[in-house]
Formats: sequence, C-alpha cells, structure tokens
Amino acid sequence: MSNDAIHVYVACAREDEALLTELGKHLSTLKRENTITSWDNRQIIPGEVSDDVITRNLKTAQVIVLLISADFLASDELWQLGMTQAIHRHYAGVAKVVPIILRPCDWNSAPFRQLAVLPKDGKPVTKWDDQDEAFLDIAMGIRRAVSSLQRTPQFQELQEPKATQLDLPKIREPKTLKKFLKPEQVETRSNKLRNRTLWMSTVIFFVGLLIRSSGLLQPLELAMYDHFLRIRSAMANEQLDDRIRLVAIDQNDIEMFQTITHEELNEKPEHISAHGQTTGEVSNSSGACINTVGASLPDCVYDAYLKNYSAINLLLLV
Amino acid sequence: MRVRRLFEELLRHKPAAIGLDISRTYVGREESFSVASDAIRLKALLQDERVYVVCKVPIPPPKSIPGSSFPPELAPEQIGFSDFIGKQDRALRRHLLWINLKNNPQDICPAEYSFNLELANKYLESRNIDSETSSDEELVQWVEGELFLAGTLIPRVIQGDGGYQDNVDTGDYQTMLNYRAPDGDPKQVVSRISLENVLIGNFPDHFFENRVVLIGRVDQQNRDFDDSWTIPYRNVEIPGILVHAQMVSHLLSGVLNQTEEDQELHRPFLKIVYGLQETSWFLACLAMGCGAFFLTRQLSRQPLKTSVVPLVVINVIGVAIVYFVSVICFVQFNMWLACIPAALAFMTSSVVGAAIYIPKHTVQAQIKS
Repeated sequence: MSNDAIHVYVACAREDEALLTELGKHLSTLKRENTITSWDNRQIIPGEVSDDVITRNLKTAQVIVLLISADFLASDELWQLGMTQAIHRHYAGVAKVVPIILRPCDWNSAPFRQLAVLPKDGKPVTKWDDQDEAFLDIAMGIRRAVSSLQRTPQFQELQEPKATQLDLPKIREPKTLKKFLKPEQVETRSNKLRNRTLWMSTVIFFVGLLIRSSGLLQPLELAMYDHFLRIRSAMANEQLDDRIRLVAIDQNDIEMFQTITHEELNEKPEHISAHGQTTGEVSNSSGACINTVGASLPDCVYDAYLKNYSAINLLLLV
Repeated sequence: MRVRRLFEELLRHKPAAIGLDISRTYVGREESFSVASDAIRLKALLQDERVYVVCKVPIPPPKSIPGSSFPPELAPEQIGFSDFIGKQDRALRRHLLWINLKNNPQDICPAEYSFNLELANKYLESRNIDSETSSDEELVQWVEGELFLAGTLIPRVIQGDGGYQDNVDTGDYQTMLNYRAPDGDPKQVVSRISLENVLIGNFPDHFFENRVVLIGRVDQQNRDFDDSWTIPYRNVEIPGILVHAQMVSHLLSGVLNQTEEDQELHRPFLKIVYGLQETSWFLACLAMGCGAFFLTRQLSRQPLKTSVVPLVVINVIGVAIVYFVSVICFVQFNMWLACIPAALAFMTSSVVGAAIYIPKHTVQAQIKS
C-alpha cells in the first residue's frame, strides 16, 4: 500500500457481489494510477478473524463506499459492524462515506440519507438503461471525492496518526447523528451503559450506607484508625510532653514500703490480725506464710494483707 | 511516713497540679491504723487545692461493676473519675471527659468530669495566673451541648459518626484520643521519675515546678490490680496512669498554642468527618470509580480477558489515592476520614460498571463471528 494512495473500503452485501465486480472494473484506472487502494469483504484471507480484519480496514479507510441495496439494509452484520463506525468516522472528519444506490430500496430513512449519494439523483444502478453509464458516473464521483480529500490539508493531518496508531482516538459522538438515527439506535451502547452504571452506582451507594450503618465495617475502620495513628507517629516527629511529670510507683517501691510498714505497724499487730480474721480472702492467701519459717501469725496475716491491697492504699491512711 | 513525705516534697516544688491515681478500695480503716500526728499532717497535705484523686464510677446492673470511692478527707472538687472507654473496642481510642450523673446517680464516685480533665483544667488555671491574662470565666464551658476547654471546642463522638456506627455510649461526652508517641512509643509520653528518687531528692531543681505531676503504679505484674489498657499501637498495653498522662497531654496539646514551647507540642483535637462532608467524600469516590471504569473502556476495547488487567491496575491506583487522601487528612489536618467505605465505593462502582459492559461486548463479538 503506497503512502499517498487513498484507502477505500467497500461494504457490500454478499448478494450484490456481481455488481461489486462490475464496480471494481470501473475503478481499475484509479487503482492503476495508485490513487486508491480498495478493500472489500472478499479479500479476507482464509484463517483470519473476519471481525478484526474488517474493523482494521474500516479504521484505516479514508473513503468508505457503501453499496446500498435491500440486502445491505437487511444485513445485521453490515449494519452492526460497518454502518455505525462508518457514520461515526464521517462525522468525526476522519473518513468520507460515499453511499452508492445499487438497487431500488428504502434508503431515505437510513442514517446516511443526508449524505450525497451516487449515482446521480440517487437513481439505482439497476434502473439505468445502460449500467456502464451508471458505473462511469460512480467512478467519476469517487474520483472527485478522492481528489477533494487529497486537497484538504486538515484531512491529511488527521490521517497522520492513523497510520501509526490503529486504535480509535476519542471520537465524540456528533449530536446531529442522534437526530436522524432511529430511537433504538439513538440510545447507543455507551449511552445505555452510562445510564445503567448510574443506576447501579446509586444502588451500590445505598447498599453501602446500609452495610456501614449496621456496624459491620467498624472493626475495619478502627483498624485503619490505629494504622493512621502509627503512621503519624512514624511520620511526624512527636515530642515528649514536658508539661507533665510522672512519679512511677512499681513493685520495688511497694516491697520497700511493705518492709517499712511492717516494722512500723508491728507495734499494733492486734488491729491487723483482727482484720485478717474478718476477711476470708486474706486468710486464704496467708497460706503463703507457711513457707516463711518462724514467722509469727500476725506477721503472716498482714503480709498477706499487704499483698492484697496495695501498700500505698495503706499508707494513704496512715 | 513515706506518702506524707512524697507530698511534702512535691508541694515544696510548686507543681501546678498533683494527680494521685491510686484507687482506694479500702475505706474507713483510719481508726485502726492511725498514727495520729502523721495522719493529720497528710490530711492537711491532701487538702491542698492542687491535689486531685481518682475514683471509679460503678456501673449499674446488668453489668454491675463496682466502683471505687475517694478518700473522705478530700473535697468533692478534688476528685475526678478514672473511667475509660476501651474494653469493648478492644483498644482504648476514645477519651471520656464527662459523665452524665443523672443517668447513674450514686454516692461512691460523684465526679462529673474526668480526672485528667480536672488536672488539665488546674494546669491551665495556673498558667493563666502566671501570664496575668486570667479571666473570671470558667475554663470548662458548655455551649449548646458542646464542651469547650479554655475556649477550644472538644469535638464530641456521637454514634453514627465516621467509623463509629455501633457500640457507642452517647450519654457521655467523649472525643477521639489523639495519642502522643515520641519515637513511636506511647509509653514515652512524659518523663518519669521513680518514687524512690523523689523521696531521696534525686531530681533536678525545677523538675516539678509548674507541671502536672501524676502519681501512680506503672507495673502490670500485680494481678489484683487490673489496670492495664490496650492501646492502638501494636497491641501495647499501658498502665492506667500512662493513659491519664496521654489524656492530660492530649487536652493541653489541643488547647495551648500561645508560647513557643506550646506551639511545638500543639496538636488540634481529632475531628471525625461525618454527615454531609462524609457523604460527599463517598460520592466523590463513587464518581471516581465510574470515571475509572470509563477510562478502562477507553484503554481497551477488548473482551473480558484483556480488560481485567487495566481494571485491576486502575483499582489499585484508585484505592491508593483514597488511602493517601485519608492519611494526609489525618496527619496534616487531624481529620479522621473513613476510607474503607470510600475504597469500597470506588472498587464496586468500577468493577460493576465493567461487569455490565463486558458481557454485552462479548455477546456482540459472538454474534459477529
């Protein structure tokens, strides 16, 4: 494929292939001049995925020729694959769509009715007295279309990226298209999709709020909260609060006090033993005293007492 | 006696407030142990207005947890409750400031405000007197059901706010506890000194001057003494006195930011993003998810198999964005933004969008071939 040659895609129903061959003959001059290269369904090599090949050729085509007949209009495949994309590309300005009326049919309501059709006045090829004359008219029409394309610099620019990147860029759906498409076609796939996504999102949102208010997410959220706290202490350089002091009392202090209170309270053991007898808890834990060889009974009792109630408590009272 | 000497020593060094966090489970034995002169002197010391003592509010049936009383020598203004909320959350995250006594009338612990709030309040009072900008207004104020400390609003946690949807007692006033963890260790929140060192006078000259002094047990070996609390830092357990230290520091850091030293320590109270703001955050994530799905569509017009990869990539990016926004809100603006529902909103909207789209696409491809 030469770089200068305009790539022509011909969409045609299987039943019209005889006419397609005729048209091919009339376009042979253009091909030989290297002005155009043409492609149609018959050129699919066995073994290729037809969808991919068709799509690829459609995307690289600068001129899209639609051979319109009742069979074309009736073919789902051509509609789905060819028409929609072709019209999109036409309105996006990346390709020119040339509808050719082969046989009489009701094409006046089709999406391309606003485009200029070939042959002259939209008179179907089979209705011409001399079919060669009709094809000549078509060939001249395509030649005009091709040469007008070659003169348009904008179009050339648009084509540049196409050569390297086969993927479609974002093509905005032209508003005019919606006007003349049938209602079923107006709601194109993406439109339907957008509506459905919107609905689903709303449903998700409320379901989500419901799950949330049930408290199911709370453990996760609290775990995240803890995570944030740890992240912050790692990120921000947190300082010690100098406005507060802590006098720490630990087991050693308690033990130290125990011995002291022991001695000091020794003077009045009778009070403590009296207490020891009243509390079952104290006498239970006084079992530890048995190990203390030679310890007097009152000593044992208030040792146990001191273990059960913190020595500081005791000291507070004194 | 030792405690008397401890108090004498501390009061001599002009602290702003002294908090004694030793619950007195044992009351009314004075007579039996009194060594008269010491007891009277200690009593006099304890009645110093700078001294605060804890008590514990009993929880009424059906839970029926007994409270603990306060030393009868003290005036009611000198007591604060030592209750925390944390066991039910498996970690202590909230800071209980005020209890509605009308809901639970009792004589054992008639304290309306928490021990740490009383201490912070006392400290702020002493600061105001120092700087001679003292106003006659109370430092703790209520305006339309919200608690203000020295003019700063303490945000209240209410059930249904942010992450808290369940299990929140709303009768009391609580806020999120903004922990301080120097070098990542919340135990290092304040400098500590052992009782022994205080008694032998082994500390710098101005160590206690104009400071809040907390006294309490820091060891957790004692089984009779269940006062250790799980906190959100890697399941560390800290003794109750350190929780109080965290809370006093929390209150002071939230309120004070005038002097240079305070500014360094200043940290606004944690706010929970809730209501309309939170809803719009979720909606934004939902919209981002939808947008991400349309982006995947642009990136790949391929059937199911090939569009899974961009979808996964975009979800990972989206969740990362949600995560970073929440982290920045938390670290920089002290706002807790719920990020789990936001991430879920993003993921479900993008995945569901794709799930709706993809089958249609593949079905169409099948028709054509």
